[in-house]
Amino acid sequence: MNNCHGYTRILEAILALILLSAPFLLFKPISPHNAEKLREIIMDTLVKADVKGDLTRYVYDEKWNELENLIISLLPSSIKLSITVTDAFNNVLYTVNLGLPNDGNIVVVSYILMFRGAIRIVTVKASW
Amino acid sequence: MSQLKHHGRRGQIIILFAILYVGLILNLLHILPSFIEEHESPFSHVKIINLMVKRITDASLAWASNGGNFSQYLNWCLDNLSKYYPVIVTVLDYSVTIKEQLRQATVTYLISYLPFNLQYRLQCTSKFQVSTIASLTSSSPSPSFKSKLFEIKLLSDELYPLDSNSFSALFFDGYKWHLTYVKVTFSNTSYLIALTVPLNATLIKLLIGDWRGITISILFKT
Repeated sequence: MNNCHGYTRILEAILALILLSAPFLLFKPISPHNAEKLREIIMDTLVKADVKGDLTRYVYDEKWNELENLIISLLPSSIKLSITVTDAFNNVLYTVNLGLPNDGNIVVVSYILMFRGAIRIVTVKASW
Repeated sequence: MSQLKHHGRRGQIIILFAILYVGLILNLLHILPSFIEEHESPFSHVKIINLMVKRITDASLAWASNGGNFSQYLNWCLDNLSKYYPVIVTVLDYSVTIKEQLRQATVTYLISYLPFNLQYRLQCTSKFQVSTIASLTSSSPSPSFKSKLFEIKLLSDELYPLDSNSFSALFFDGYKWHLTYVKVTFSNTSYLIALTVPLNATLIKLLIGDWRGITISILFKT
């Protein structure tokens, strides 16, 4: 009977451990390391998109569908993102949300272009 | 009874250790990522900065090829880049060539990227060159016109889609310049530009631009 109480305490301890650990195991937040990995993926994607000038041409020719398809084609489908193109006065020229939640941990990468005397800022926001 | 109490205390001690264990894990979750972050690779950051700086060089050459001031535009771009990115870019040296069939700029930059405390040199070259291979004149089906065919080759510092170049032509009839239609076809490694001008046209100006806006105009006597 006494042994049984001892085991109950041990079980209580294990249950307490599970209860306290569960939120961290189930809702794994985007750690700074994961965020940096995602930031690197977005940066590499923007570099690939503009290495032959495609991104620049689509932005200045306002070919927004082509721009969207180009970026999507270079990213893994598991990444949720939004793309926004603004001018120097922060006027939004184009924006699209591709499943990016409004809250949570989001990585932001900007790519600045300055052709033809006009500034264009391509901002990609992404989350896993 | 006392044995029961003893077992109860042992359970409480285990609960205490369990809480301490969870606390330790929580601390590790906070400490480890920041430790890893200190060892992040700046490689992707450097690649994107280098490409933006290369595009600034392209844009400045395009500005200069259209009659603008290269260094003024370059400095305007670099000032703006620093507003949006934690980077300081200084021009160490530059040379610009604006010749009839050649547009070229070579700039050496000193780049200081603040988040990684990085400082490095980067040399960027932007180039757009046109070489004329052949120029042929033939009679047109219309008696008051003549047909011209130019075969040209384009050279650039970058590979880019062939259809991204723009072509236009003007002819001079002794009084003023007129825009004329051009038909462009790509043959093997060169472009064939066909156009028709009136018999009284004395000069033809071909305007060729690449996707960056770097333009070259070539003058031909008819």
